[in-house]
Amino acid sequence: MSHSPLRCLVSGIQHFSPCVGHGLRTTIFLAGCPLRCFWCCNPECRINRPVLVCNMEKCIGRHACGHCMDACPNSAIYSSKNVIRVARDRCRNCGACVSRCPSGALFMSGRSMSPEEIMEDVMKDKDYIMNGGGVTLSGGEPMMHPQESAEILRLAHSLGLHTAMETCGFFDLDAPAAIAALQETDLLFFDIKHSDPLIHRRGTGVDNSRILCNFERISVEFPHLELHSRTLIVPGFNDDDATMRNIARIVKRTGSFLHILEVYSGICQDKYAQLGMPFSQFPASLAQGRMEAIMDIFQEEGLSVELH
Amino acid sequence: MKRAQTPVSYRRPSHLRRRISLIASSRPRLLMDRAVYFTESMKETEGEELPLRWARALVHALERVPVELSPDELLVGSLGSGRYGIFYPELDSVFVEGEAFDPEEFFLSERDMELVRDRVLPYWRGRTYPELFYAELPDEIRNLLYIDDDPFHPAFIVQETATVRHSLQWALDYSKVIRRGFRGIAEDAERMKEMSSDPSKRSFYTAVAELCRGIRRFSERFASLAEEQALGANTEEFRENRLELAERCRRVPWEPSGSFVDALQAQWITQMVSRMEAEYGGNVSNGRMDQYLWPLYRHDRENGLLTEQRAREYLDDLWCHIAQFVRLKPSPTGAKIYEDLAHWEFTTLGGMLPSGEDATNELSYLLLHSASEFPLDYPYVGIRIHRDTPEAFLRDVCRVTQRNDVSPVLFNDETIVARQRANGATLEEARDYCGSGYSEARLINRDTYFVGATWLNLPAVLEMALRDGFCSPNPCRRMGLPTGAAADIRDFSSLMTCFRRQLLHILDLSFRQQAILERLRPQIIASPLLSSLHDLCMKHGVDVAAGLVPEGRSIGGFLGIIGFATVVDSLAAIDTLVFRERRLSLPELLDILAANFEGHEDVRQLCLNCPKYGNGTAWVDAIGRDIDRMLLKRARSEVNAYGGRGEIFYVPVKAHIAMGRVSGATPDGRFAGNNFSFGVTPSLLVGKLGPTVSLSSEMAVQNPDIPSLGARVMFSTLLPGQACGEAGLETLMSVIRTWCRQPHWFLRFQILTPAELTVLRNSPYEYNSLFLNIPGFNSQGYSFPSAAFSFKCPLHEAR
Repeated sequence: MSHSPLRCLVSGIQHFSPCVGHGLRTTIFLAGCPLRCFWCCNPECRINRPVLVCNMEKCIGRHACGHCMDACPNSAIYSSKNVIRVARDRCRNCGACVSRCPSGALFMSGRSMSPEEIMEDVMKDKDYIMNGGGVTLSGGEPMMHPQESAEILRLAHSLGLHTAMETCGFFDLDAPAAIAALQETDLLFFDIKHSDPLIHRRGTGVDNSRILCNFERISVEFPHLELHSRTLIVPGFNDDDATMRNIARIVKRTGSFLHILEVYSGICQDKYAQLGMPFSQFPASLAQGRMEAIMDIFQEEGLSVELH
Repeated sequence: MKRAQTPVSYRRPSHLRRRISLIASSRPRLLMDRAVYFTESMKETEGEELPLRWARALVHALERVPVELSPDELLVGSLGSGRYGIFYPELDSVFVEGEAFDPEEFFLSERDMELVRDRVLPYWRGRTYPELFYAELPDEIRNLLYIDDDPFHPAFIVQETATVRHSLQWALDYSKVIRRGFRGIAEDAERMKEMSSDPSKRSFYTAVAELCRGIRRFSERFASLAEEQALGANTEEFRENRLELAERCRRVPWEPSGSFVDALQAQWITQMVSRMEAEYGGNVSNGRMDQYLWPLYRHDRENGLLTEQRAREYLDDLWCHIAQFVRLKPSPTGAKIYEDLAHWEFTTLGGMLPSGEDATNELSYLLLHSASEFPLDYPYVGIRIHRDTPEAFLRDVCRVTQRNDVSPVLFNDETIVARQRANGATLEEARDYCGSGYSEARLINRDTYFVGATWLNLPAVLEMALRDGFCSPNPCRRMGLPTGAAADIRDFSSLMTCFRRQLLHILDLSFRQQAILERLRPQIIASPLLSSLHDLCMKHGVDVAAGLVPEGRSIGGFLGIIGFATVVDSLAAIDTLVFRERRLSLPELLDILAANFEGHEDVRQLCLNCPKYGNGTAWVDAIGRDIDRMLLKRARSEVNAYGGRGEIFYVPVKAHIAMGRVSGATPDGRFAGNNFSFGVTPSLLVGKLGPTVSLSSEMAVQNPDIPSLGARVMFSTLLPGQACGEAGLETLMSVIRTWCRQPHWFLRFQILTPAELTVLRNSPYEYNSLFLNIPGFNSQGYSFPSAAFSFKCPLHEAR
């Protein structure tokens, strides 16, 4: 295997990630994303830098330990009621405290790895993912690093793995590396978050025109690619009938017959607390019967729906 | 998604429901009758050959022990109405005399005790297996086994179980009883006796013939009971039922079975006699039930003589009989290693036919559903999985696994058949192996069976390496070799050298005591029933307990390794903290361990967060592989008096609890007194990368070039959400399919229950080590307190 100088920031490699219809997979989370969705479930992957995570549940307390407080050069760690806290305004994410933490309560999310190192980790349970499963690139937005993504996917293919990618669709489709990456992809999950450009900007920070344009172009320009459009239903953001109908029409226009729906779950709010990020609250679950109504809309538009 | 064909729903009749609740609520009682009559006969037959004495004593007991038949029973063959165990004086009488013995605990009346004191104990004084063994032990081994030379106080460093039970475990060849009846076997024995001139063979055949006739009379005693009940019957239906039962008991197991129900009746009577004959680890197994019952089941179904409902009622009754019989052990070792009355009558389903075709049939499905829907813990179901296991059967197995309360164990045919082949079995024989005990495989007409296993406390051996030969289960005496103080251990390779020396020393002692056990056993134990159902024993006129059976495949002492993952993790932690990162010195670490991490929680956390076995870390797995290799090489170089090679198996039963309880803190972060790891399963909740990586790690610690016959017990812990719904079903099936292609032996899925999650929630560290996987959601290292109890189905709540 030739050694490439490429490195990227990996915030996690998750084995045993079953994907309905696509077997057991291993998911690689790459850091860095152009969008700022307020419901994001992997907020540590937004910026392309290591982030300090402070998991208070694992902390054994200042009295038994407290080494991190001495280690911090910026005095960003203090304790309250025997539990350590991180003053995020002073924290420079330098990681000095992490090496002193015995319990894993403090750790840096994001590790610089070469594609070869990533694949070595992925191959730990290769027999299980080769049996109808494969490897999935996720993030963040893997297409923020098209060159690295392309290399990872190429390596995966050379090892005989099926490859998949999850993308928000906001990337430069004309970049050679992006084209290379898509050529190495067998299965693409493409998120369509909203049909309205303004609301899309309000919720994610970017306009959706590029995303929709990429969606249509990919369906035409990469016919080998198994393209699955997907929508995460976020209550209060995109769960109204009109939006759902519009999304269904967008999908239908590309000639696709299948759409995947996912339901927002509030489990990620714990991560926001541990990352020291603010989290906007909204009702964590859909109203009774709403899901069925949404599925009906898609079916009326002639799409079959899978609920993941 | 297409669902597998669902079986016709089964309604359990009220009399069976009543029977089950009576069993579940009854307090187990130790029955002394077998001991009394067995002893009576043994006194009379001094001087005869042991198999004949055993058969006569057994027949004497079979003709006299009180038998019961409750109106709710469909199959006969119980010695009491609730749960009961049998007292075996040849093993346990010395413990009944001990001060610690409390008759109340075993529900024994003063009269029972008087009877035993007068008529049983005096005869056995100085003749029991434990006593003879104890007398033969050299000092250095005695110190290793007992504290202060007190046989009532096991040290749990090296723990023999040969004197706790008659034999390791076994499955009988019930098909012979069903096809030919005991009459056929008795006639064989008589014919062979005529042809033989060797007095010991003649005596063996006499024993078999007498025993077969004794079994017939035993069965007829139940027939009389049933006839009595028919006389007093209230309803015509009940009267007919009892008369039918009586007729059946007069016929089977003496004559060949003519129907499915006959076969079940014959099977149970045989099992019951086997329990009277000897005690096995986990009781005698049910064997390949879906194979030997299949011809009669198919016949009855095709001719409309049996409905599925009826078949399941009879099966339920068989499971009830199994649940009624418990193992009650008065010996201190027995009590500790078989806690909570566990017993497992291994019921093997699926697998291959000797021809290599898939063996699954309609009855496999029926038995799977019947066993899994039975509300008590029995029977113990083992599924043989091979490449061509039908999709529908695998799906049903996974559905049962999802329900968790009865999750069946999985046997990997591909591995087991290959290992049997490499150890001298023919292909046909190997494919027809039968699950036995907890996790082992037997060739029931080829293997000659084994002296009970010896269990070895591996973490104690590591302690000896670290502490100059001393270890915590018996801290006052030096148990191992003086390999030098911890301060002199400069690097990891010298630590491994010390460990290897200690291990080889302890293994030597273990095999020496095993050899004593093997030598003594034929003088003390005989198994005429088992021998009568074994092809080779009948052919050569030898009792299987004699050890050496011509043409048989003899296997030497089984050595059970306890705390494998604990030791691998401990060594990895020492290597990381002491030698690689130099965070603290070895003597410092030992002081902290001696204080059970008191005041050093930070050090314990460091230990817990070191690389662990089960996460696919190559260098950690290499330590495990080295240890496995050391053990296997040493064991298989040991040839016992019968020509059998020693084997290593990783089957703890409950010994990991008993041994963990007496052992000090270990460098992997385990507190003193906590359980050791289980089999070859990674330590609890350190598998941070999920079950597939753990399984791959388990593969990495194996030495495939050494085709060991020892079982390797592997558990896979899942959260309810990871296995629920149709998606969970697909996941389980996918894992099993891949698992089957790898050199694994055994797998059992363990799905955490909400109650277990609640308990874990109270210790955040353990709780946060749970592996949570939601596609697209990066969860490693984080905790999810707000999702505290909703780990149940996080993915599928919305459905």
